[in-house]
Amino acid sequence: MTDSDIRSDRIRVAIRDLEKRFSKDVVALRGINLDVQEGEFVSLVGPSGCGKSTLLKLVAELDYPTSGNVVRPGIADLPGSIGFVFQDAHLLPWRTVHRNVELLLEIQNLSANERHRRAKEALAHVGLEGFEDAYPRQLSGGMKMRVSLARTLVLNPQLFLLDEPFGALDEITREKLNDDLVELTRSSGLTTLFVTHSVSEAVYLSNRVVVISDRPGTIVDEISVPFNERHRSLRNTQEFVNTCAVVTEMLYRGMEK
Amino acid sequence: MRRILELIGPPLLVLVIVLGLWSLAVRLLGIPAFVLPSPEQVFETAIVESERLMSGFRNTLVASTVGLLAATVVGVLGAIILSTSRVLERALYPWAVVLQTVPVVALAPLFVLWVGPGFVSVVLVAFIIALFPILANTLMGLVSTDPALIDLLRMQGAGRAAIFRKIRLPNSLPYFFTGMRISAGLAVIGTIVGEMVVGRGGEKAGLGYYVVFSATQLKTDFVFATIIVSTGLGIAFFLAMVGLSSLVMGRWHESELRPNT
Repeated sequence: MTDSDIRSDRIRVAIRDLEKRFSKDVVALRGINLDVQEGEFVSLVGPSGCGKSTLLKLVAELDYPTSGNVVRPGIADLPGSIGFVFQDAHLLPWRTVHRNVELLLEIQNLSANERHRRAKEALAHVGLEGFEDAYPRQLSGGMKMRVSLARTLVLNPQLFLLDEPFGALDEITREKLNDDLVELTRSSGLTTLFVTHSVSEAVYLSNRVVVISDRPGTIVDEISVPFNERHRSLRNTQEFVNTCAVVTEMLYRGMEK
Repeated sequence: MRRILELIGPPLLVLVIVLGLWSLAVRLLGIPAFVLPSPEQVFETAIVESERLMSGFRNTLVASTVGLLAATVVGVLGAIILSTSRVLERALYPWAVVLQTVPVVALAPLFVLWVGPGFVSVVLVAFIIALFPILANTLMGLVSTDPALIDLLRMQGAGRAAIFRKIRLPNSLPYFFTGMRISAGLAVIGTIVGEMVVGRGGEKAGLGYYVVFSATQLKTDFVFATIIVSTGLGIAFFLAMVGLSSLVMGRWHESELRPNT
């Protein structure tokens, strides 16, 4: 890859020769080069402990690389331009659903009216109308995750980062949330980086799947996902199964190196 | 009504049985009243001495409240200060533990030397005994916050003050109330011990003073009456904290939401 790629005005994340060491002997990531285009949904798949979550944190600047760099052309360097969703919902138990969604807006000093309006809108977006005054303990795992998504989407981020957000959910809830996430990100053309260890989830959600090897994490391969429409029955098609098989094959290659 | 009866019925029955056996034993064994008065005698004395008991109750109540409030203010502020810096925590927390371990009764004569016997010395004893549980628990609550939440707020440009207000402080509430429940009882005990050692007689006398005073005069029935009133005060303090905690956290904290069994 050359610098002219970065200058391409559709690139929103450009990762160059990234290395992350936690100590002299522990290398989490090595030689990572990756571009994400505007509106693209890219999944990072790899065995646990391969550094895929670390990579996401480096993109969010929650951590810093040992060498190499991450640039985010066209993403404003402002609070709220990057949305991050964690593996668990991480809600505040003392706040209602509505007030949880308002949390990050409060940091931005928006007026109470504006906060209220946007939180209501975001909750409607994730299908949680009527639960505004509930407390997190009253919600199921899937609903908590929806609140967590709403809390981030309410920021109108330009870049959406998700770190195994549905890993702890049952399969049916997970598939439902996958459909909702496709809808949410495609309708707004949101540039998304999604970390998961589930091959079928990655293939279902993404335009492109990036397979990461066992530690030290390197990129084994990138697989473009060949279908445009997403529907539940897609998971049963031969093409979907074949794509999953290719990704799985790459995953094994990454673990045997 | 039925629920209340089910709740207080069994312990009440135990009380009646114990009082009955006690009364019976005193009569049958002919135990002298200065060794062990019968429950009837204790009750009688409580009625006769009700004025002194009430004034002792009031004085002890005031001293306990002041001691607990002082411990709450100092404990919470101390916890906040210690939570802001690892260095401060490492430098000061061990001394809080030492303060907790010093036998407070042994300090009491010093208080008398410094501020004289009476109210201030008594409150000091209560304060020192009640301080540590509040400080230690609140500190634990302030520092054991979810790192992901702090990352999330930092990413949106939140500073330390905002993180403290929105995450750390509310997160510490359940821990704070755990400390308060322990300290509320301790403050009453501290006050009574203080009154026994450094308390003064007269109209300012508290329950602890009456315990010592009546014991030296072999008025054992009055000692018992005083102990019962003191215990009642301790229970009232504890229940006040339970009530306060359910008022503040009733809608969201697990401890307040357990199903009634």
